[in-house]
Amino acid sequence: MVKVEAVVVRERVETVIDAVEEETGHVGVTVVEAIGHGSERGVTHEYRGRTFESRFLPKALLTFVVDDALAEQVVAAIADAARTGHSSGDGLCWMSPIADVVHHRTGERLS
Amino acid sequence: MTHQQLLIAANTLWVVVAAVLVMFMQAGFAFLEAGLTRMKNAAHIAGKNVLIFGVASLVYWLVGFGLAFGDGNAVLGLHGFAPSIDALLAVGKAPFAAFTGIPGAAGWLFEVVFAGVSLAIVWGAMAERAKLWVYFAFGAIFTVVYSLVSHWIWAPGGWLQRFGMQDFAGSTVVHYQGALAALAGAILLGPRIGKFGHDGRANAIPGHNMPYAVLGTLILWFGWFGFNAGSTLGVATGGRVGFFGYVALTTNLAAAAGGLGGICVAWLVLRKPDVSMMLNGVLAALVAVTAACGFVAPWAAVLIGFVAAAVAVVAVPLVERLGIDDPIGAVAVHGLAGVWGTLATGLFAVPALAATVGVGHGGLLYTGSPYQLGVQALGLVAVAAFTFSVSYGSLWTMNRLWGIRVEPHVETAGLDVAEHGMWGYPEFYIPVPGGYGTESHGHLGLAHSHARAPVPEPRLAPAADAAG
Repeated sequence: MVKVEAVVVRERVETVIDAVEEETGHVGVTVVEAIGHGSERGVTHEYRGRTFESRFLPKALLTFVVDDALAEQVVAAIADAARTGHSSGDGLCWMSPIADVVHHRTGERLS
Repeated sequence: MTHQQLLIAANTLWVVVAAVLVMFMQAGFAFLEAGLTRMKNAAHIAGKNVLIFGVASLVYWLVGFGLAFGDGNAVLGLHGFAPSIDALLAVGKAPFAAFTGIPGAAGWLFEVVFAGVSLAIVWGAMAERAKLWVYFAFGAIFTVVYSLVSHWIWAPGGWLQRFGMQDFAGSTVVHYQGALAALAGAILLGPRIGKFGHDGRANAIPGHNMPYAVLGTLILWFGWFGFNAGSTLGVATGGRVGFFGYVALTTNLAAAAGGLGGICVAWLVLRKPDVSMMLNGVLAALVAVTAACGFVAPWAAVLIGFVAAAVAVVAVPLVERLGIDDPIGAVAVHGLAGVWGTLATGLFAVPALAATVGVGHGGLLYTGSPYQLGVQALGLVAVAAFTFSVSYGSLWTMNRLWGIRVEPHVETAGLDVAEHGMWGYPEFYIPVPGGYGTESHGHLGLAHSHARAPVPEPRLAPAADAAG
């Protein structure tokens, strides 16, 4: 099994999950609300005439645990669906091998 | 002081207190509307009530009050624009001879807060997607429209007043008019992103804070005692001293029946005793009894309130089914309940009370004559034709020229951060110096300056412990 994790802008969360489901058939995801920044180092807001530099932006961290054979497809689907066309801030996606997965209800090992 | 001066003093005291109560209804709208919409728009939606009350106040001072209550003809007032000090201090004199028992200034204060309430209603249906400048521009236009209609119905010599149209405190003038403009705005803006699915079915977009909506409703109920009972414009009405107490009583009975009606009808029809529908029930009942409060018996106030609540609960989903996105339910609560209240007055007006108030006749139930009901219906049709068409026309023109709806990315991000630079609840989205989720103060350059605590010395076990 492979763990695919993706940081995406919050309004794209469902778009990305739908894309994974439609393009690879994989169902199941964990969503964590996250904040963070990339090379742009956050963003500038305004409050009462002062600039307010926020180092962090609201993001979501999605975790998919998928079959080895699907991993590349899942990554491609995520990257496509997370692209907004803005100049920065679309997030990234990575995968890592995992040793073992246990299904709580059945006790079954998935890999 | 003479008897007459004492009467003017008592009248003015009551009317100014009532005006202040009505002004506080802006706070009610702020909490109600912010509570029933999403967190990302909370500051914008609450703050708009300050903005539009400012617009309404200045426009009403310059032209509105003169158009509404200045001496004039059957259609509009022609005097009293940016009124002079003398005009504001005089009692029952030109250009504000309409106010016989209070100074012009007290009359202005009491009427401007009504204009503010009517304008507050407009934005409920336009919430979460209108551009900020539209509040300024349409706020000014609507205040003028409102003033003309209030002249027709409330000013001595207004053409609907001559027919004897009974609208004690403004079911038609204030609430129905606000709802007509709200409907025009909601149609032109179109639904919020995600309100309707691809199959056209309406999605629920729950409000972000139901206790806010409850507080807003209670503030509106509180303010409504000024709204209705203050519309006596004095402490004696048609020879009955303290008549405003009776008006306050019918107002409260209707609101009570509306709250219970709202939650019970929601329980039966929508299968859940929805809290926001109970609130809509209270407000619909108050809207409906606003026309009737000085004219009807207590039992009729209860009936009017209950039916208004049922109408609102059923109409909120029906408005959605027409493809109209009205986040607060203004069209149902202020529009349809306003229609019901205006017609119900024509049904249930007690002849003796109509004589006390000095407007119109008894209703169909008492007199068997459909005259009063017909006058009420005529008023509703005339106001709909005028207010809806002018509102739709002016908003349509602004939409064609400049666009009245925000860009999709602004709507998605939320009006707070996109239009005003900061969220209403920043700490839900980003760390704020010293706020939730951060003590680092990183953006102030303090992230690395917090002194690290020294490594504690290894503690020797006390001898007593070792001994057991």
